[in-house]
Amino acid sequence: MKHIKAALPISFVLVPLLVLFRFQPDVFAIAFGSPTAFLRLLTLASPLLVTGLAVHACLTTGRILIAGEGIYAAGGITVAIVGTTFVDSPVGLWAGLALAFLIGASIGILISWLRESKGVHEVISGLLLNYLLQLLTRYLASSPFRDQTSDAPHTKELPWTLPLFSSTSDLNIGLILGGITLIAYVYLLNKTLLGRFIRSLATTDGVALTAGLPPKRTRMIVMALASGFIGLAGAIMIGSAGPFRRFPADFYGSGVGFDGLIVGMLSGPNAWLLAPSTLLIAGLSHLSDALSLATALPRQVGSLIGASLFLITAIVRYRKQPRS
Amino acid sequence: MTLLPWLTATTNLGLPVMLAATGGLVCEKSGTAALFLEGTMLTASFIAVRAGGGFTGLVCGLAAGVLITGSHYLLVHRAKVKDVIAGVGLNMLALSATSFYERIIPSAESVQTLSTQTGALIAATCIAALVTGYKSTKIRVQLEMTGESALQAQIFGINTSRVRLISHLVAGCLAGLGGALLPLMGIGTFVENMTNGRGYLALAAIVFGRWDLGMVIAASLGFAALDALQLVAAAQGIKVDADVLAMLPYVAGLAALIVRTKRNTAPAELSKAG
Repeated sequence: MKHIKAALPISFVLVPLLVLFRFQPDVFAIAFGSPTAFLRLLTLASPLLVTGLAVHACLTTGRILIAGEGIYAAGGITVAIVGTTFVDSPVGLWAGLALAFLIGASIGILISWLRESKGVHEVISGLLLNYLLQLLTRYLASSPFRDQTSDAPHTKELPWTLPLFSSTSDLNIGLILGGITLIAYVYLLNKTLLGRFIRSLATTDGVALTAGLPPKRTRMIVMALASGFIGLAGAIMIGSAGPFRRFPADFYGSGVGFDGLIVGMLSGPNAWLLAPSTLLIAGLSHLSDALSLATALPRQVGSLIGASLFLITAIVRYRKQPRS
Repeated sequence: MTLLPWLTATTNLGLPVMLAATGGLVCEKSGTAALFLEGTMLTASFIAVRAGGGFTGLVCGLAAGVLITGSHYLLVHRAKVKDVIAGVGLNMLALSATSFYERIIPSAESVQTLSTQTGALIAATCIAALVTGYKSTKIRVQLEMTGESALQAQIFGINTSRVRLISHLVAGCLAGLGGALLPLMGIGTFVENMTNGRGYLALAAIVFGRWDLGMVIAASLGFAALDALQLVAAAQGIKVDADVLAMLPYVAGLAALIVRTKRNTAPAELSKAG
């Protein structure tokens, strides 16, 4: 039964993919048929791994981090503003990254404080914050910090950028951040006593309380760290020498936050599954781009499958506990 | 800035939010979190425009709302999915499905619209019917007992499944009507993500209004009054950035959640659902 539960969401994606492969093999060639395409997939997957991990960490403590999309954009605009303000020194970029982490963490603390102190569900406050951050980042990039020399609304180009892995791709240090964080996270959850107490928060506060771990404060810390890392991922994406180097006004809506939600949920209790789940969702997004190039189908087909996958995962995995 | 255009815009934007918030309130009173409001409103807007607008569009939008909340009922109370997760999932599905179909076959540029007076009359009738129903002691007791403790309500012979199903359907009708009125009283067509978070503002109005019908209606109209500022400012040539004005209802929504007192007036089953 356990294996059927795990296989159901995956088969929901794999079956249409096999049908697609049978009738449209060219789409797969465009999406995955070259080293460049594969590196592009990894570039997409890097921030997704971080957001998925952040969502997973919050789910482990019984909370849902849904503001990822807004926090990711907030991190991006922070590094763009700080980096273009302190143009004479590369320290500006590193200060921007640190500030992006802090701003992300602050948003996480606000959401968590509203939940733990005021009883406001984190999904309501998180979604309101998403809309607010979307408008705020768009305003900042298109009005006070806009590059006046360009017709397109975006911030000025960063004078210093983080290095890329190779000159032929946009793969940046976000992959290292995701990889190291994943290893540390899995170790913390599975190999330490603290991790086991944190995991117990998903179902009951009693175990953590017995161990002297305050549940509310622990949940706040976890959400703050998770949000901080999402902010950092957004900052790395903008701060790396790649397609961006400047914050475009329409950066919000890249889908990283909402896809991260699917990744975090799809992984279930096993944190190691975050890596394949990330590749699956990033692959799906990559494939829908290729599909829209090869056929008349809009690229929204990817988010349609993603949303359906979210619901199927919810039916299979996120069920109410029977009351005693 | 003259007052009349602002009041008209507030009515046009406020009625959909108010209807959705009152619908969500009924559902929350029965102990189920009404996170589905955004997706329900969006689907109803889409269907209302696709059905050609006018009263046909309104009825089709209402039916679409019932379909979404009916699905939510099945997911939460039959498949036993957590209500918050089911609501978020349905919202994501509604957004991606409407955007997908809108890209394949775009909506008509203009459908038959309804006047502000007609919309206000429909909303007033719905609210009056809701208040009348809620004044009935039997209905109120059944709804509130289910929301406070479904187990104890069952001991008293209340069919909690039926109460929750009916409350979901009422929420679907009201949120569907609200969603349908959004394009029909406004621009007369559908655009992607048309609701733009108004379903979540309706939820914020429920929380800020402390699950009290009058307060929820007042909060919904308050958020809508701020939302209307951007339309009026643009029409009257006031030079304030549109994004800044568009932020106001969300800032107010968040501020309302922050200043909310700690006294918990939410139905107890909502807290259990977590």
